[in-house]
Amino acid sequence: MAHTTSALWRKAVTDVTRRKGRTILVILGILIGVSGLTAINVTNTALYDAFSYSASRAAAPNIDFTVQSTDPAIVSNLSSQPNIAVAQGRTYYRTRWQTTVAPGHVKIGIVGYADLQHITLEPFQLLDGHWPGAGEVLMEHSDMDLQSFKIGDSIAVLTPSGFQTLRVVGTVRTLGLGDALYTGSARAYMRLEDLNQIAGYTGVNDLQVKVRDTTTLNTTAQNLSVLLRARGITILSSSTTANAYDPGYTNGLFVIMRALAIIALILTAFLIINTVSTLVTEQIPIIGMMKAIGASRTTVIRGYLFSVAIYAIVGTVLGIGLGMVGGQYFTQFLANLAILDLGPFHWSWGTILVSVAVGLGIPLLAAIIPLWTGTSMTVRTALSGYGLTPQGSGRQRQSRLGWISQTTWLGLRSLFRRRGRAILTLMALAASATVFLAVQTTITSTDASLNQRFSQYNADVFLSVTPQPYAAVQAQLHHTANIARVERFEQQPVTSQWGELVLMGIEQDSQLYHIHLISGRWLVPGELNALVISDATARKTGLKPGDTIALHTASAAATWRIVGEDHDTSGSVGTVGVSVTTIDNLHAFNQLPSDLTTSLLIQAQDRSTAAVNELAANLDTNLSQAGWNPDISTKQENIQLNQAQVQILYVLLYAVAGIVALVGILGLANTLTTAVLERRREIGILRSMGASGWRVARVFLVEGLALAGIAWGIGVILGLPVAYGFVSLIDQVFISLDFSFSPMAIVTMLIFTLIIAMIASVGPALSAAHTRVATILRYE
Amino acid sequence: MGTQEQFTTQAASTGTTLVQVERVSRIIGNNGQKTTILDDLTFSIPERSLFAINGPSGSGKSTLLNLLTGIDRPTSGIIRFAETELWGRREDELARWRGKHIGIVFQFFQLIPTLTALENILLALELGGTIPRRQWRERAMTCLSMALATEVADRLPTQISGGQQQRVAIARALANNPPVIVADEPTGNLDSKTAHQIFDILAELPSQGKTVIYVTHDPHLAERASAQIALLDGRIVAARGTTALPASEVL
Repeated sequence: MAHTTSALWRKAVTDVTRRKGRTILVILGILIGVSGLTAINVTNTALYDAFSYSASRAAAPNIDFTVQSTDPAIVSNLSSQPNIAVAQGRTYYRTRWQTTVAPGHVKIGIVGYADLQHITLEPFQLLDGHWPGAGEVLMEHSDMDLQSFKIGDSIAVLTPSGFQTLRVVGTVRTLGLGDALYTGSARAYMRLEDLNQIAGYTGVNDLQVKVRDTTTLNTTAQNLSVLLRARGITILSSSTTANAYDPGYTNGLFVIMRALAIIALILTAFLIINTVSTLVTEQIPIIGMMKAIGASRTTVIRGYLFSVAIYAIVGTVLGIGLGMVGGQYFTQFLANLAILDLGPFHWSWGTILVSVAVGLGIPLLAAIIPLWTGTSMTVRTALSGYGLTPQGSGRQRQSRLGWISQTTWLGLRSLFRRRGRAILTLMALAASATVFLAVQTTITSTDASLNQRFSQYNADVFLSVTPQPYAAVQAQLHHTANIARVERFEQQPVTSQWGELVLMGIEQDSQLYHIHLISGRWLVPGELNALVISDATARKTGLKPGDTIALHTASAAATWRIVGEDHDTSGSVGTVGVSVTTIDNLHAFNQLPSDLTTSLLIQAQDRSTAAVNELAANLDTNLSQAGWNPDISTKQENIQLNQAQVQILYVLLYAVAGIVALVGILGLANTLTTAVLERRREIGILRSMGASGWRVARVFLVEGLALAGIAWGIGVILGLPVAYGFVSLIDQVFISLDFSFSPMAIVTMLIFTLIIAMIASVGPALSAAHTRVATILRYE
Repeated sequence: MGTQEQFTTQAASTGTTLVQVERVSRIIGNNGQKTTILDDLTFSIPERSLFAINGPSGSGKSTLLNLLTGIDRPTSGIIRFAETELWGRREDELARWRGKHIGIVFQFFQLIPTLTALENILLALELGGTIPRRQWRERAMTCLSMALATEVADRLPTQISGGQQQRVAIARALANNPPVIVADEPTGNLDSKTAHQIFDILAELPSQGKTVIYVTHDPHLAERASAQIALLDGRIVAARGTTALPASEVL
């Protein structure tokens, strides 16, 4: 075989190909770092684009009015108003779809259009089947996730006259509609006249408008409200959005993801530096030998950079591939949680370039310093471990605790044998421990905040119905057993200069909703346009009792006086918090009849879980029979729903915790593997003196566990401020959170760190335990 | 041989001096304590000789060898290698000089574990740069043949015995046709039969125009040298076939 390639290049290649264990470790280190970084950046890009895709401006309404059924002719009136690009009317019927899965029904929203084939706002695409006629329905494709069906099947939906059967004639995909499995609600479409017939409606009850100029959106919305009210149309609720998705939610999510991307970048750099430094350091004796036989410093460095470049290229290519695949799946998962339409998967060159730069650049840079140090050593120093020059280190007598075994002491003494490497390993492990504690604390804080949120409610059941006079509601509930108290309660999103706020209306003398006042006072009876802001809102806006705040919806606007501040972490994701006023004030703001009721809090007499569930079931039956389309949930169900909303955050956090765990494991495994290689003579001597494999393994296990213990200590010191900072960040940009720390998290962190150490130490310890004495001592 | 006498200046068999060592000392310091490894050595190594440096463990043999090859630097004194003073050169310069002028055989072989025997020699040829690339393979096989190791050309160091590894190491040392071969306890890790076989290879080299300097603690191997010095506690206590001085003696 002709050898025309450079021997130096050949050595660079064979160093990679013939040291499989080391190669796998190095490439794995680079791969994990690059794939984690790529996945997060791919997800970031894809989600951001998905928000834009889902919120296609061409097809999303800017203003939405929910009204009592009205003549569709109002749509043409709306269309002719200034700044109106498109106006559309439809009927939206919220009811139940009878299913075979527990509890026997799921929520379904059936939308009726006069012309299903020419929908301008929130359109859908017919995937299969044909357009429906009388008694026929189109189902959203993802509805199959709730209850399987096929075209030609019949579904049963609840109507005022009982369950009605509809034949499924096609499936559709609605732009911007989240997967039914994650929203928990199905979607279907019918002809307007057919839907109205089964629902007992006339006309349309949902008016959607797209404006030309969003800068005057609020003014336009106000004008339309005036127009509608002038025509005697009651506006039950309204909303405006310049974009189809609340920017608060998306911005908050992206801030967190950017923070995680930075963390991933730092951890990637850490891992790669640790891995490559170890790789080069263990080559120092060979570097010395090469210099002894004639290699210059540049020649040696060039050779090793070749090897590092090979590792980097392989690790980067694999990491980018894995990261893109992982990112795609992760994006799909998060998009469903965030109710997004992803559109076709794509990625940006920027993401690839960043990953390439990190995957190639950091290993090469990480190799420079140890290579420079290694090649600057004299040949004598570099070779000192191999016998050409006897090892000259003087042994220092060290005091030791008599009760510690020699093998344990041997492991402990070796901790800082190589200070630089030990410090790098400690940093990687400490980073793992710190991030783990931050993740645990964030989750604890989130859970505690969610639980605290519902502790303010002294109610057991939350009920919403189609708008009814309060007297009628009370009369209906009178026939339901186990009810101790009923109060009106409503929540409405309103817009302020700081973003969206949730305005809650409660009874003046509410006993089912506790206000924990921090300063100021509650409203006095009859007080108008006054409210109490939450401490979360105060934090984000800087407002305090005595200030005023201007709030508006599409159909109402007013300036409110702040009379108090209370502790309340409620508020949807992305909002600036909650403010509370009386239900009468809220109705007055919305120009609704004061006795119109859509939501209630109910307290049970028997508050046991079984009794509350039975009450909820009875209410459901009674109010369904009354044709009021009840939506009932218990307090526990609401807690679970809130927890589901923050699931996206938990997924991100656990993903980061998983990556940092891998970083810690790999960092420690690198260090211990090298330690085993460097201390082969020591191992051989131990075995020749009678040490069992387990005793030898214990030396390295002790070293690994000791490093983990020190890292845990560092993690405790650093983890708390990092956790506090992260919770504060989430509180600012995502959801309101109170910082809550459980001392058990420190114990959990210790267990986590020790598990990492055990996993990382097993391989090297086993290697040490199974080393053949004769092989070592013959040549060392 | 005498131990504390003034030594005779019995001329070496070859006559010409290749290496001249004048009043060389090597002192190391560790935590404020100084240790004299070599104490004021003066001797010469004849060209085309089989030159032994022997002595018990800790006498400074390997340190002296390191000084002669430029791997280590003396604390004081001068070392001239073919009239070229080694002291004062930079590391890279010394490395390149070694690649061309000295072939080193280490006690523990020091073969690169990821390269085959042939590839280890090719690497030395590349680093030495004395032979055109197109002749490398032929030269490598020739060296393996000289070292009686052609059968292991395509095997990794981990796949061959210690004796075979040392033969490959000798072949590597011969790769760039250096005038000097330096061997530090070349048979220290070998059985007696293999040791003699290896030493026979080295002993043949002076007849091919090379100077072989080797360190050994084995008096039998030392006796086979054409010239030798004996060290004890860092000082020359005996010499044969060479000009040598004990400490503080000036001719």
